[in-house]
Amino acid sequence: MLVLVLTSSCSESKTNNQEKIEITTMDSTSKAVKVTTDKLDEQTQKVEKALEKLDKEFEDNN
Amino acid sequence: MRIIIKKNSMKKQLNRFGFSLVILSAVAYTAFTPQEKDKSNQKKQEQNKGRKEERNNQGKNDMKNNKDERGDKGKNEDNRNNSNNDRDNSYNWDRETFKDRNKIKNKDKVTICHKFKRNNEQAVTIRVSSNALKAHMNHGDVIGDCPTVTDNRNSDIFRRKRNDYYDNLQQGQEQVAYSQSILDYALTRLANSRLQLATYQNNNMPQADIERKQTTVLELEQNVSLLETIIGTAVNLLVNKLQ
Repeated sequence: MLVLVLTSSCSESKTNNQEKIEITTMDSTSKAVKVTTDKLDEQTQKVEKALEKLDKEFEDNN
Repeated sequence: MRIIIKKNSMKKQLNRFGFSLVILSAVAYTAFTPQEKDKSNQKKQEQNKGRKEERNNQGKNDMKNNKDERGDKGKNEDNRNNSNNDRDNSYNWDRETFKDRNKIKNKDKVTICHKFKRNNEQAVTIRVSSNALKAHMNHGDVIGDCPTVTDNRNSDIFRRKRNDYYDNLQQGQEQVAYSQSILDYALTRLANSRLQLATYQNNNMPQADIERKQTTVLELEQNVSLLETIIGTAVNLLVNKLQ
């Protein structure tokens, strides 16, 4: 009985630890993805503005 | 006579000693030198690593091929005709659609239950742009939240974090698809503008006008170059994570 209790509590704590590790990994990747996505959005907007300027400067169809 | 008997018994003892020494060394060899086993494990690990790298490279190549294919198709192709299996619809811009890009880009988000290609991987609830909805439905995703899982293997926090994680990946992928389309369009416009600048120079346009146009082209070139770099970083970060 004692062995059973010990085994189940050990496996539970192992799962908890594994979960914690996975959560940490997911959090850090999420953060990196978010930062890159924001940068990408910002730079895309700069390109869009530069394209608008180009549109004004080159009125002909190019 | 006695000496001969003694010699024989000594020989026998020596033989026994030698035999037990051989057995002992054999036992010690098997107990303390598991190199062969390690080697085979190492070999297996190397093979797995190789396969993993191959898969990653395959993913990168797939994304590159998709990009190349889009480039080859021509920029004026209608978005509606582009019915490939890309998860996020690719946009193809021309001067008219580019003016209305915000209407096309900022479509409503739809909540879906995303299923993975990998076996035994639990589905996740994510938001997708309605532009990307069709591609998701084609590979078996369904509209709405995923059903609550009955087994308690994972905690609620874990499940919530997992949904957030994959949702972030999806938003990243959608941004990459959009930025890539703007990049493709900008590259086409740059090439055309350079040609037009040369024509203006040949037609003796005033130098001040040409310089102003050159500055605009240069500004776009610099921004495009930076955008290319950031797209590269984003693709490396996202590749194969949402399959």
